[in-house]
Amino acid sequence: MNTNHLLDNGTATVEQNFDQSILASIFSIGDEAMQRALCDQLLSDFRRMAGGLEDAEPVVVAKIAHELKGLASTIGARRLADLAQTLNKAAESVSPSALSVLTFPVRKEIEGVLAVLDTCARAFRQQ
Amino acid sequence: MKDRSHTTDTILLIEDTPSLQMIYASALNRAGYEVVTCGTAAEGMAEFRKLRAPVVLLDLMLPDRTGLELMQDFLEMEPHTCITVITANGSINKAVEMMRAGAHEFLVKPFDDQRLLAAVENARRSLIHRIPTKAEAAEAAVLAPFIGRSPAMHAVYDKIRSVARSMATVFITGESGTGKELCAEAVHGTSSRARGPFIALNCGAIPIDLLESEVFGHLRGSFTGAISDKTGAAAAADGGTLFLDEICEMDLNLQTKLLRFLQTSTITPVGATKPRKVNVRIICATNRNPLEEVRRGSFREDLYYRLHVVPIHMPPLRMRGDDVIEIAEALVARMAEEEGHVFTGLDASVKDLFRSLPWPGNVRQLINVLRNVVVLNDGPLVTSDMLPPDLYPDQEPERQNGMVKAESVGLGDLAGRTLAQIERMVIEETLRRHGGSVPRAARELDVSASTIYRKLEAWAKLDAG
Repeated sequence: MNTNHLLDNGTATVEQNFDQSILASIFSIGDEAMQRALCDQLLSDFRRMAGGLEDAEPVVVAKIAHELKGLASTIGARRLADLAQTLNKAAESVSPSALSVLTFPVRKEIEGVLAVLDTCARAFRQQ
Repeated sequence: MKDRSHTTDTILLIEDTPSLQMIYASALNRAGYEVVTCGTAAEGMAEFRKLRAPVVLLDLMLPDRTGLELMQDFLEMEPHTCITVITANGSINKAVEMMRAGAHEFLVKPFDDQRLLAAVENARRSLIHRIPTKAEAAEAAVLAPFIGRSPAMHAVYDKIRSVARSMATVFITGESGTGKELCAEAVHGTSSRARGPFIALNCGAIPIDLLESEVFGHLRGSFTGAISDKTGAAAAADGGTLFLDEICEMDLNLQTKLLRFLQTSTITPVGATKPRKVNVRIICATNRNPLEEVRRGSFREDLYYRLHVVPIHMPPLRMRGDDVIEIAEALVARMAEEEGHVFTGLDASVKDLFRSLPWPGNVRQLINVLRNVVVLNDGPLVTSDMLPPDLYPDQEPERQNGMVKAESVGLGDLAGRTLAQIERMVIEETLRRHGGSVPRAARELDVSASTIYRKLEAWAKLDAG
């Protein structure tokens, strides 16, 4: 069995790797306005990071991976945080072609997180 | 509910990921803290300069600088700042490096709001319970640039600090050479106007007919010789402080104009028709007894009450105990460096003598004595034989030198001398007759003591070549 997260397509769902109770507890800190604003900001930040990983220089990838690691772990997106940490460590030591292979599962995982956040955003808008 | 009134609640949060900034700030806001957020080191530095926030939450990795460099700058500016470093998992080595460099604590992402609040509470507690070192406590009590810890000076420091937040007019009294201008600068420097101008004007040193123009300015052509517009001291001090030294020397007519200026906060330059509003805090000083001048009719009573809002009396050096030694040692060190001589301090007999002398010219006299010693001698200690003979109170006039050369100067034979030479002869002769006492000579010559001290200083430099 392959234990490298970056090469492991895995069968685990986003829900299993994303402890959404942590996200919920963060949203509960503020009022509805704050919840909406934070949700929009999270969507914006994750989209920015996903976009930044495309065709980027290793040093840029390393920086984004570092930022991604902190944000993903804070909102409970554990698998994304783990993938980001691995990418952060590897980014500056692999070839550019290998780097695009490594960023692929990270971007895919971000998509899953964005889907969850989109759902939240819709829910907040309906409140 | 927790009492947080004892320290400022503003926390500076420097975090470059906007979502994380929002999450942390929301948690802190909910707990009652005021948070200022920044996304870059540059913004963080700008806010820190403004706020001097005692508690800072600082992300280790910022887009424009490392958190370590920024933290070092903060600690250099405010050594007691409690900086909590925020770091992502995997950067623990760097966090440890930050702790060694002076960080208070570090938080590893992810952390929940309870952990965040606990870190902030810890930081605040450590600030409250921080025990100042002896040196810090002593330094805090002394108000720079003053030197001295005597009770008389502590009363002055306390008064300066208490008027700092006020706009009230300050009236400084004290003998010549006690540091009245230094006191005025300290009042200005500790006030909210500190960034504004501090304009000092010696009313006793400016001819009466020029004083109005010096204070209020003039327009070109308003009188013979007014070849261009001149901004007066009052306008130059707009937004700051105007210090009027030797206020009792001011002509009565000009006192009336000064009173109007104080009542209306407007100035009318000589030759102008329209008044102009200015925002100036007034500090004035005199070495005379202002109330006595009011009784004599040379100082307007209404102006006296307008100015005499917060009086500060500068104690004479003889009333300041061991301050004289502390000041002398600081002066000797500074002058020795300036003159390229080696002095390490005062010997015991000089210390005893300095404590016992009446110092009629106060700190200015002490400065002149020590300058003389440092220029003419080499150290390592200031000893009694280096001191000018006229310093000893019981000295016969014939044995004194300095300003006069032993014998009395005959004033009848003035022909062929310049006016400056005659002025020097008159002053030196008067000083000789008063045993070197500048205040007494000044009274006889009807000039301020500071005028004589300034002249003595200039002559000493001239004589030294």
